[in-house]
Amino acid sequence: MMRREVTLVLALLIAAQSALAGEGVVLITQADAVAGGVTAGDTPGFPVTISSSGSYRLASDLVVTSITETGVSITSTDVSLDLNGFAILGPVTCTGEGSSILCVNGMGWGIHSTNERISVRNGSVRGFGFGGVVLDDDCRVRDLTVQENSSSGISVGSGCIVRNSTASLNGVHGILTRPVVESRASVVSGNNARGNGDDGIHATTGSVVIDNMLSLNGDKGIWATTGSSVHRNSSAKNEGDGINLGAVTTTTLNATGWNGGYGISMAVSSAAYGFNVISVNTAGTVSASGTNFGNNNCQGNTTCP
Amino acid sequence: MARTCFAVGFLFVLALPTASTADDGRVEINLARAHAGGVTATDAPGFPVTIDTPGSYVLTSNLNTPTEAEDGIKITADNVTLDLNGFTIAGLVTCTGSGSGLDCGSGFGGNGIDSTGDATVVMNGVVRGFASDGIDLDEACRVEDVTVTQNRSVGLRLDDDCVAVGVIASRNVGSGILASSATGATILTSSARGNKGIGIHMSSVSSVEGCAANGNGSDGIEVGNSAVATYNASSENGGDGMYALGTALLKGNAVYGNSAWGLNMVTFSGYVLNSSGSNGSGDYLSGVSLGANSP
Repeated sequence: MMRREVTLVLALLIAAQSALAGEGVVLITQADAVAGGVTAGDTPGFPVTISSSGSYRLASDLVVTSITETGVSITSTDVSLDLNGFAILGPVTCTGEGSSILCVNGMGWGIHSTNERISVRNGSVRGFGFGGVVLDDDCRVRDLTVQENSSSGISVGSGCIVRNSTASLNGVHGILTRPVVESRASVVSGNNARGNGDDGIHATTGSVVIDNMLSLNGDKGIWATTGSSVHRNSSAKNEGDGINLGAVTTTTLNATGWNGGYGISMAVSSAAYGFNVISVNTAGTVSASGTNFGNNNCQGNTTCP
Repeated sequence: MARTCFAVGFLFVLALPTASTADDGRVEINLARAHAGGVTATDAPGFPVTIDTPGSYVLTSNLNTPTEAEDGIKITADNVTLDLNGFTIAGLVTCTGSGSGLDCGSGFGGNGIDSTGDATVVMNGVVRGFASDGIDLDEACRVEDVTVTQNRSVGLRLDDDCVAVGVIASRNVGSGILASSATGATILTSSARGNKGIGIHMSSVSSVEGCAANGNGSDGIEVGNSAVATYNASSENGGDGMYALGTALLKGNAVYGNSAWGLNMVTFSGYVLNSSGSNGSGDYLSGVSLGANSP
């Protein structure tokens, strides 16, 4: 009799503590993905649909086998997804690098959202047809490795911050701020973009591109448009320009070399450069149109074109 | 029977929502515990959650305040670390439009996080929709990877010697990030977009590096005496791209498409390696050129 009462009390205790624990961080595993029900509206199989604001954490790799499926679809604002060191893996593979890269086509994203304020960090996303990580405005990407996606590796909207991530061997751009005409004011800092099919970093109006490493990309290492600020990057062995600047831009303290285009290419005089080290590049050290701030080292010559 | 009743009572006391501790020793805060109170000694039921004891705290759910009058979390002790753990602290305010057209309704109420203690650390989450500031911190604070948006006053308000890294401040009625009464504050790799006031507003002896300010209703970035603003992009703001008082240094910034001046420097600020264009009033006003700028 006594034992039964104690059992009852323990059950009540567990129930009470569970209720008081609140929502908690929601763990997501491959089994959860298969079963569905991670949030309301999440049907069995992929994608895992996150439809409620909150904090989510992978507790296993997620393996997507169909080329038409997305790994995680986020349909709510204010969601944080911590990959927790795990990977979201799709079926797409790529061979080669730069403009020679060849990826299997597919129709899914690794992580996809059209909602604001999504944060993704701490893991890997690989092998999706429409892109690795595609997010909207005011997003945050940190400490990710994004590889071998048929489209761009990391694609973000306005006001996003992309930090300390690697985007390599993706079919189009490594890191892209979009839509190209409308996107504004993203910060791309401390990343490595290597061997992507098009630009390493493709940044739109009013962006900051600082402290990144770009190499072996199929076109430009960095392509930064109007009003952008580009500093302290290393851009080498890309098939196009090391750095390509739009109007009203400034670029300093970069090292560029062995690129297929110019070390630094500027189409208009309002793009300006100074204190850069520019080594041998196929088209030349610097295109003729930009403004020289001075103190550049163009193949050992401080008088750049 | 009496023994059983005692056991029931004892176990339910254990189950009460007093400060729960995670496996790593941090104190957990969630909506249930906010309603119950007792997170720390002086924490009454309901909002705000009051943290009156130094230590490390972590959210384990979103927190939603029920009225505009209340703060979300009130910190009264020094040396508190609050990890939002990917969660959101949300008030009831919502906004339409952005920049000078931003409308978040009227009336003032609570802050999302309000600290009167020194050395507060806040990281990894979102604070939105409060009738006053999103986050208001005291001296020697640190903020990292936090988004503050749609608050009816300032997004992130900092005091002396604070550091903010990776902050997104968007569509707040006041400044996105404000440290105009502080000295020694540093803002790194952050974004301020669509705020009705100034995007990033600093005072003297401060540093702003690698930040993007766009579409704010007033100036993009404003700094004071002996401040250093380097490698930023400030575009399409309703006032100046950058405004500097006194003897600031503005280096390596791109300022484009602002309604007033590109760089507006009162008296003796120095500027070098900047690029300015398509601004409504012109590119450079006053200041001392330390070398090449464009144009």
